[in-house]
Amino acid sequence: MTTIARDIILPADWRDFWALTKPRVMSLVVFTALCGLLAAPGDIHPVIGFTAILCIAVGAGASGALNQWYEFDIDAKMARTAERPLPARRMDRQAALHFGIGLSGFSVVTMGMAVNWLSAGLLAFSIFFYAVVYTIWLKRFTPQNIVIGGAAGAFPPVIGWAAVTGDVTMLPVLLFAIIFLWTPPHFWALALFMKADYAAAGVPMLPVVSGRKVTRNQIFAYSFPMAAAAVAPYALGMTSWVYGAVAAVLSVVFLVLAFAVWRNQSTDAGDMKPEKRLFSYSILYLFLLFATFAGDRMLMV
Amino acid sequence: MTMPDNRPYTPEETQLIRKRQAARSKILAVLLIGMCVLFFGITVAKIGFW
Repeated sequence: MTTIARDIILPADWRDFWALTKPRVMSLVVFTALCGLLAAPGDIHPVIGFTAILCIAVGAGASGALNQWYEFDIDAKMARTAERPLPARRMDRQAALHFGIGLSGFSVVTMGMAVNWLSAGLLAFSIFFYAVVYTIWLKRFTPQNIVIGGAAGAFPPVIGWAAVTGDVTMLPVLLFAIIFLWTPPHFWALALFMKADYAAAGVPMLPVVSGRKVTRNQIFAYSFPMAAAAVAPYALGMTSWVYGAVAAVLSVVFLVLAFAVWRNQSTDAGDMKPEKRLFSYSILYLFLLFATFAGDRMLMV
Repeated sequence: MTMPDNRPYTPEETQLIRKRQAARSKILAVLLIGMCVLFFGITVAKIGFW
């Protein structure tokens, strides 16, 4: 513990700074960015490629730190987030803000000087989008928060691509679309069985504002354009049939699980197995889809 | 050392602070060395030596 009986915050442990960066979210960001980088046509020096991925990871960590700096009050009200460094009072808020701003500046400037300024600009915009547009503006005010905010998480493969090619073409836009359309079913599945937490914190997630039925309808509805975006790279001739087949199978499984969510009538979080199953599968789905995509493109290119 | 309200730290608090400062200094040293290596690598890669 960093707080003593007198409730004065002592200098934070380094592990708390690490926790501010949301390492688990960062791992997904690094993975999708790496896939974008590997799938792009052209060569990149391994050191520059490593620097690009490092900057994207640091930028994602910066976004996480700024998010936790701003949301310390609602994090304290949710069981899932109450043990984070700021709500648990293990760290001074100001330190979290400085840490987030410092990491943001470092990642963007290093990306610009070492890789290229297009990827640096995209990285800066994605940090701004997550920290300001999503965290400060959308999250507390609209149930569409994660629909629009999902764009922030969709940028990494585009940045990875831009790091190699110096431009943004149709294929990275499709990768963006896949993550953008994947985000609502993924987070709404979580929000369904964590509804009580979000309601207690006053976060207007869709299940809190519009109810479970509407949320389940939306999850199922979003799964179709997501599946279409997933197979689009093959349909447009940008990958081989191997990716097309894998994307089709993974997406059909996703649709089946989303259908089970749509049919579920349960209002008790304990009976929400379809929602929990979809949430877990959605993470696996994205990993497998992007891994196959990157492998396929590397063989093609 | 004193608290922000000028009360002295207890011996346990002082010990904890010293331990954390030492750990943070070590991490910072590793990060700085890593950054030097990275920037050296970037420079060499940009020059086209490798």
